[in-house]
Amino acid sequence: MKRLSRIKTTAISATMIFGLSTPAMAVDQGITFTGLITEQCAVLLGVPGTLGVSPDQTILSSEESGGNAGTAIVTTNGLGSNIQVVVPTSFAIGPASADDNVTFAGDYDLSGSTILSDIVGSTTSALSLGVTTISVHASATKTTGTFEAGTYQMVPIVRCLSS
Amino acid sequence: MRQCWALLCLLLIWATTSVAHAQSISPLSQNVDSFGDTFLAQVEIGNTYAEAQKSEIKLFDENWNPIEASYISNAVSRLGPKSKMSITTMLPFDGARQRTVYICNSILPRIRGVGVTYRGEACAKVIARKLKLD
Repeated sequence: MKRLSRIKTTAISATMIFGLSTPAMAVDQGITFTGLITEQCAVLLGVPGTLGVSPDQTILSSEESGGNAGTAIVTTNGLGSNIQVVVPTSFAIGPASADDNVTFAGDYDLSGSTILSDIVGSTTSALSLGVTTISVHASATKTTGTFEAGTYQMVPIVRCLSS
Repeated sequence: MRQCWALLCLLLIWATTSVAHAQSISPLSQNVDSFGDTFLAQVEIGNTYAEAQKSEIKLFDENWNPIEASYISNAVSRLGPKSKMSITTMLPFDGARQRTVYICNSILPRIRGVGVTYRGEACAKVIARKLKLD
């Protein structure tokens, strides 16, 4: 009887030890945290451009005397962004003869995160990560005749796009 | 020393927040699938300026020819300073199995009441694939 009782006690003790030790045998499981930052591109236009006029009045350009480049700040948070300048095909404001026999052109320089110079407007350039300043030059040239007196305005587009 | 730490903290705060505040369009590229003859694309646009601006959504095909949407939630909107808006567009496949389009957030800003003489555009690329049931 005493022996049976001892066996019972031993069995209960073994079960308790097993029961207590089970959690220590559990497999560790990691918790996964995921995050997503979507790719962004921002264009912040700064100084508006101004057009100067050539002495013979055949060229209106930001690179002529009295003209100034327009600037914009482009911010990217990834490496998949490109920049280009879309040159207009007509004046937004001008005298009636403004668009007659006129060719439009533009180019840009990049500084800051991306450094490039004298890039033809329609060319697409890859941007580096971060903040890039773009300086835009625009011009209109009369192939025949001259620009008459009046107010002229052209609107190039600074475009940030995915590669 | 304490002033240096304060300056460093301010720079860190500026660096971590400036990108989010400057958001103009997101995501820059996405792939969408559709079973129908049209597909949906959604982007988030933002006004990067300190003043309210008129934002126009312009749509182009892969050769930058203007295209028409079957539906667009807000083709023209006036966004408050530093604010964002979600834009949903529905576009046709036009018979193709795959189509690439650009959704552009176009702003001709007015800064302190004066118009700028060039336009800013941030464009998202959408590649849509038409799925077929066998």
